[in-house]
Amino acid sequence: MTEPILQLIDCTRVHGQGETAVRALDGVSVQVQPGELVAVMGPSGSGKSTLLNLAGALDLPTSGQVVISGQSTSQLRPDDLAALRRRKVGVVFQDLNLIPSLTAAENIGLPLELDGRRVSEARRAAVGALHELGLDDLADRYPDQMSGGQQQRVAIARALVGERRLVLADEPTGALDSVTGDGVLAVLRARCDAGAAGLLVTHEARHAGWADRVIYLRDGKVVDEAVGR
Amino acid sequence: MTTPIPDPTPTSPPPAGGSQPHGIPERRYAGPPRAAASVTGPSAWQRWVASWRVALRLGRRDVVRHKGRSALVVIMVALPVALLVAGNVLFSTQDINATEKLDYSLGTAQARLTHEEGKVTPTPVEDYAFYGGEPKPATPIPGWGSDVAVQAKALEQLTGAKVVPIATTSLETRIGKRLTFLTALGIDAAAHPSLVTGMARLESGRWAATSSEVVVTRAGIGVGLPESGSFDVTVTDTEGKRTTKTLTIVGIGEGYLTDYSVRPAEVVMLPDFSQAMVSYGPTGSATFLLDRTAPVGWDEVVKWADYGLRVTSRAVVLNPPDLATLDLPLAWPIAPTSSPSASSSWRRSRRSRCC
Repeated sequence: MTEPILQLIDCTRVHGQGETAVRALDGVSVQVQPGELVAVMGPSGSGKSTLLNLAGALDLPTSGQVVISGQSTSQLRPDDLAALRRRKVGVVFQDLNLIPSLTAAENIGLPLELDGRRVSEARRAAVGALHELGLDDLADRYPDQMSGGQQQRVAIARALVGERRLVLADEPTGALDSVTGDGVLAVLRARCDAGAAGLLVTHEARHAGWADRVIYLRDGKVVDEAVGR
Repeated sequence: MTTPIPDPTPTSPPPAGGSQPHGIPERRYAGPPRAAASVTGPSAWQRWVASWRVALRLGRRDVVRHKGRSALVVIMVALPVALLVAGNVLFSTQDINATEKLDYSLGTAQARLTHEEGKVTPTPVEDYAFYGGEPKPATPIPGWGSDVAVQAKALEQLTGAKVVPIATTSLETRIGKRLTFLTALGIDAAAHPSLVTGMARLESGRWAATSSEVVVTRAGIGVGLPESGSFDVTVTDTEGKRTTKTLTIVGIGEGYLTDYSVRPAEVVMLPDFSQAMVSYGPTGSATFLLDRTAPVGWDEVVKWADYGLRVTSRAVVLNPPDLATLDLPLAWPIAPTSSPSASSSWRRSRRSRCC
């Protein structure tokens, strides 16, 4: 059995203190293997985004452990944590977070550039990622010169560029029509099929159908798990 | 407990694991991702440079894409900063310091001596000279008299060096229909050409040799004086009699007056001590340049202060004595109110300091 790319081991995340403390996640354990796409579903406030933040090393658990590619996020220094995020984790945000002053290729190559790679090297990787998604013509366009679907695909390309093997997506199709949304999920699915691990937060059961497993969250706890495909 | 996953829409069936993904043309499918990242990446220095490179590129792009907004930001930041800097520069450069003032004030002389009514408090720099209070009687200078030539001779005896009188004169003249007052540097530059270096400079022609000749400066030409020929001035003598005389322009040059700050004189001429509108020194008495090779030390400044001589010494200005050794009054001059004579002395001192 291969080592899981992402492991959440009995993770609890409490926001606030004392009487105002909110237990956003309560003893959640999840594993995502290479090649596996796991969907996370649940009502608003169930802890989906908190789970995604912990999985992406954007936040640390109050208790428990998050292990990404064998490294426990709680034991890393801030610099190493940042390096881990840059090199190992790709996140597709619901609101995309593309930088308006950078072209598509520059947005995609940004994590590589920030990691100290040469501009030409980052551009080469970005153009390759765009080519892979069939978006060759968009390399030099700014985000405001692209459609919503194209922007979302660029955001996915940014999450996948380089040598990342963990892709996290938070409602990646929220602002897209169904056809475009399916296209985006297909890309995500393809990357997982190619060996990456994926965690997809979604409200729609239809989108969860692209996943290998679905985890249902309620009040910060895993209440159900479905295996599909 | 497991629950069946709902099927996705019939129009977009999920692909089989590992096969060509739905919606992606086959020729574009790049296959599985590359191997995991190596532990050793680019160095910290390369990452630091890269972060700045990206930040600067973002800034440059923002400027190019939003010119109006960028201009507004620049103006809102730059304008207050520019005003602060300009104010600071103006405040700092509105006057020159004592060292920079030396050549304008002394030429190549070692010191400038001004005789005052009583004993003076010796100070290293004229700008910090203390005026005020009732002066103590000074030790009389042997051979001192009212005539400037006699005073010069007495000072030569006292200092053991040659002294050259110097004056600032105000001349009333008309330029066209405009009545104006010219400031004149009065010194015999023709007799002491090397002594006036830094204080006055001849561009063309020659220095004045008689009291009816004058060198016009660029500042004088700026206020409307001719570059050649002659012009009339009205002078008032010490008896109060006003006479008009014609001054012949014999040269063009530069000359500087050093009262509170350095300013250009409009004409350079011989010192005419018969005129009432002559400002000699801070208290209206004569001023002399000391022409010798040996520098005037602090001990001489202190010694001559007893004779009522205020001394601006090049050597002392450049290497002032330790402040702790100076016997300076604690407060800057405050106008005395008890004694009318002292009060008038203070006002006169403040009005005509250091020229």
